[in-house]
Amino acid sequence: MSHQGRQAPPPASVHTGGGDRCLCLDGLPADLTALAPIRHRLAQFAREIGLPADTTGDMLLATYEALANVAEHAYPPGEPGTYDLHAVDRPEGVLTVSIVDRGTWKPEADNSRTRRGRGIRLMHACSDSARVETGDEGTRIHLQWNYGTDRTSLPESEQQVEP
Amino acid sequence: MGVADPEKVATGDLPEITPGSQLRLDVDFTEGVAVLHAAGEIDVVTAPAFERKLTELAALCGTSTLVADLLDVQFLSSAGLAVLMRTADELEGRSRFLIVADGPATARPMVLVGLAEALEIFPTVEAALSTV
Repeated sequence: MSHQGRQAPPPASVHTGGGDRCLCLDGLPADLTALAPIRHRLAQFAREIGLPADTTGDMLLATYEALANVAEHAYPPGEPGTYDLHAVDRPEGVLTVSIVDRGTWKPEADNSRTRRGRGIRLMHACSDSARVETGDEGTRIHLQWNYGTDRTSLPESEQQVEP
Repeated sequence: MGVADPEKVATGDLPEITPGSQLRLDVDFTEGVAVLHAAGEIDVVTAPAFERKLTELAALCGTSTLVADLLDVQFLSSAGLAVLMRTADELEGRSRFLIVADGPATARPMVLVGLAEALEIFPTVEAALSTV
């Protein structure tokens, strides 16, 4: 814990204008050892917006897996990089987490010996929608949860069909 | 490390608290069964300490049973799931590996990635021990 200064909580801004509530964290270090404070900050934001407990668990896990992939693979070893994380909560109960880096995307393949490679599967399984956009300038990951009572954004195909 | 003083294992020299993520590991020995109680967060940073402790206990308890109690774990990422699978692989054919997990933080991710079928999971330590 001697590097407490470097591990200081990231600067954050929470806006409440226009009905949307946002947590904007820019220029975060893409470093595995720096992810826990971000997860704790996201948990605090989830409490602030009154996110249901089950959605909070899914959001924290999916986001963590996305961030772990960024920290492990976006930048070459020894070349520190950064990413931006924006969480936006809309009044109708739609939460979107966007993660933007300036590196490369490398989904880890399932490996039967090391048993690794489940992170991206978890990221998809724990979100209502997960989209990864890769490009020359970097990678944008968009995760979304629809926890509102009317859930109007649910696609029709997910509605119950009488047998 | 001697087997004669199992209490030492619980307070071994592992860095049980890592910057940011916290994981506490305590060990109980009951009638030849080792129960590892984990409390806190098992993520990329703390998973190696969790794995070292499981490996250490797997060596200690020989052909007996190893129980991983995750009831006080608030966060379990894929790094922790990989440790559970590797430990199960390691012990296959010589020891039973029982996992105690319940609720959204631990049981849910295991179900989502299909570990629930591959591992023996119980809702309480008592339920796990009753099968030994």
